Amino acid sequence: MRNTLEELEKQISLLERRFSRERDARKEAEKLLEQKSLELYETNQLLRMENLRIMKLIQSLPVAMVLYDQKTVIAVNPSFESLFGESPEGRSVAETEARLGLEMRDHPEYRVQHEIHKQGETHEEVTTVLVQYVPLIEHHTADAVHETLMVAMDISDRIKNDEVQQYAAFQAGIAEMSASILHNIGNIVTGMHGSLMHLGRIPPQIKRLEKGVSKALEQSQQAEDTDLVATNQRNEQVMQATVKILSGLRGEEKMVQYIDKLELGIHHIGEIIQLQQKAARPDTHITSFNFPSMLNDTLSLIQDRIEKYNIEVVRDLDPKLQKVELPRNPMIQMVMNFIKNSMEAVGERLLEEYSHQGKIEIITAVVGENSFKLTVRDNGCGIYPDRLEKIFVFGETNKEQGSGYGLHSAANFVRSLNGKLYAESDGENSGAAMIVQLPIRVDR
Amino acid sequence: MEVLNQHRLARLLIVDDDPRIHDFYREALSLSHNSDEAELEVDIDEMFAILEEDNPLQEEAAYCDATLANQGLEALRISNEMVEKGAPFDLALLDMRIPPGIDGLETAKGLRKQLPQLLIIFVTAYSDYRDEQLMEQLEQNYSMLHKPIGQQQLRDEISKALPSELQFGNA
Repeated sequence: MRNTLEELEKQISLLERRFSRERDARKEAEKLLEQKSLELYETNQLLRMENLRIMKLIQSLPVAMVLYDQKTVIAVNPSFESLFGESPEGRSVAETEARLGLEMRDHPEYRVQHEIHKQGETHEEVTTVLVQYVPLIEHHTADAVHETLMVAMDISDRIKNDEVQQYAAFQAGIAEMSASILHNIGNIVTGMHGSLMHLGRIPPQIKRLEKGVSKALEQSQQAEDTDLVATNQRNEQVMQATVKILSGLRGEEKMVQYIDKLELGIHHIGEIIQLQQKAARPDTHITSFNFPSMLNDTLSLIQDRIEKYNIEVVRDLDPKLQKVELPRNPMIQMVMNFIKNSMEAVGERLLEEYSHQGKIEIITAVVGENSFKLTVRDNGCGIYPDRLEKIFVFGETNKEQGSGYGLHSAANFVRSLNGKLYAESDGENSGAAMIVQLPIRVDR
Repeated sequence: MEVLNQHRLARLLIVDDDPRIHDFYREALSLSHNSDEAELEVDIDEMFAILEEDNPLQEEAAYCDATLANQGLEALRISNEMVEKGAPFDLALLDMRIPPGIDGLETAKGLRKQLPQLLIIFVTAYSDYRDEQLMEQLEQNYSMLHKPIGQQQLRDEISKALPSELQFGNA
């Protein structure tokens, strides 16, 4: 019995210890659970706060944003509402796509330019926006809900600025061309005045001759028979003088020369006007034209200045480059600008080295299937290395009187055709080259 | 008339890079005519001499003493020589675009350094400078004539610019 009692006490104590251990363990587990749930709560709170923060951020940004998952538009910010004129919050993605005429994708690489048409009081207003898609979860499984943020930026002003700059550059090009043309025509017409003044002096000379011959006739009619020998002698002298004067008038090379000069002047003015008419339109249409003859046309527009600078123009043209399909007028303006810059660079160098012989090389070379390179190289004053890239920037110029539009305009033009334009120079008084690579044909 | 004849003939410096414009100045200011014309004049004189009559039309006398130059630096050199000779120019007619080398305005500034009172007329088809820029650089005693110009316009403008004690043409 005692043994049994001892045995029982032993078991009870064992049970108590076990119970105590289990109670401790339970307490431990409860404590851990409590701690974990607190952590969870805190994490949850943090997440909620973070979410709220992001939402607030989206709401306050001046860029239009819309948050959506595969099915529904979750949130729209005020910027979006004011840009698109409506808020699709809560609507289905499919309905929103239809209403906005805009795809709601989740691809991060996807960028699209989109036009928003709004009816204003007097006319339809068009706003151009650049739309980008940002998926908020990088790796998502097919069945999980994933959200995308669509960001739309109003780029109308940027486009307008580009257009304004391009037009200003075009106008500057025209102004430069007009200046050259005015100079030419002004000189030609003034020269023609000179020719006319000279020709104008001939009729009075003929009149004097007529007067002299009439006088001789009058004198011989009034002469007495006895004076016959003397009269004949004098008449002979007068006739000899008349022949001399007439042959002098006829033979005066200058008379014919002046008439030729007048004719040439009129012809030259006509030519200049025609070239100007062709080149002055802001016509950026792609046309099919012969590249070497375009170069000829361009050179003839500034021929007189090239001659005055006594510059040797060397053409090294690839015979394979004939017909091209490009915007012709901007092309003329660009080449003209290169040549003009080269002439001025030569002029600049001449100020220091009087005996320097100016030279401009125009080189073309077909490169690959549908591409060619045009190089306009001079041996003028050169470009400092730190300015090689700057010269293409709007408003930048190397010259005291330059506008800085010319090369900027050329750079814009080349960029619009997906071409390349760069300058090369070994520095001061080492000459410079403008190199442009363009497609031979661009789609119309 | 006698009093007028005592006046000194105005001395002009003309700078233009275009030979056609030189011809124009020669004609417009009755400078020197070419040898063919001079010979023709002698022949006509001879004819009237035979007839013992006066030649009804005498060649117009030069309007002024004029020197023609092609370039700015050349003009500065000539002007300097004239200053040294004690016969400085009274008026300069300058084209604005006279490449290569310095342009019309630079030439004008150089001439003014030699002759601060020099009268200047720019004769140009296109000026690379705005009026304010010219005003700032030259201050006064300059004017602008736009090509194309005619004989009368040129004569009037020169005559207007020159002081009355200098003789220009027959006036």
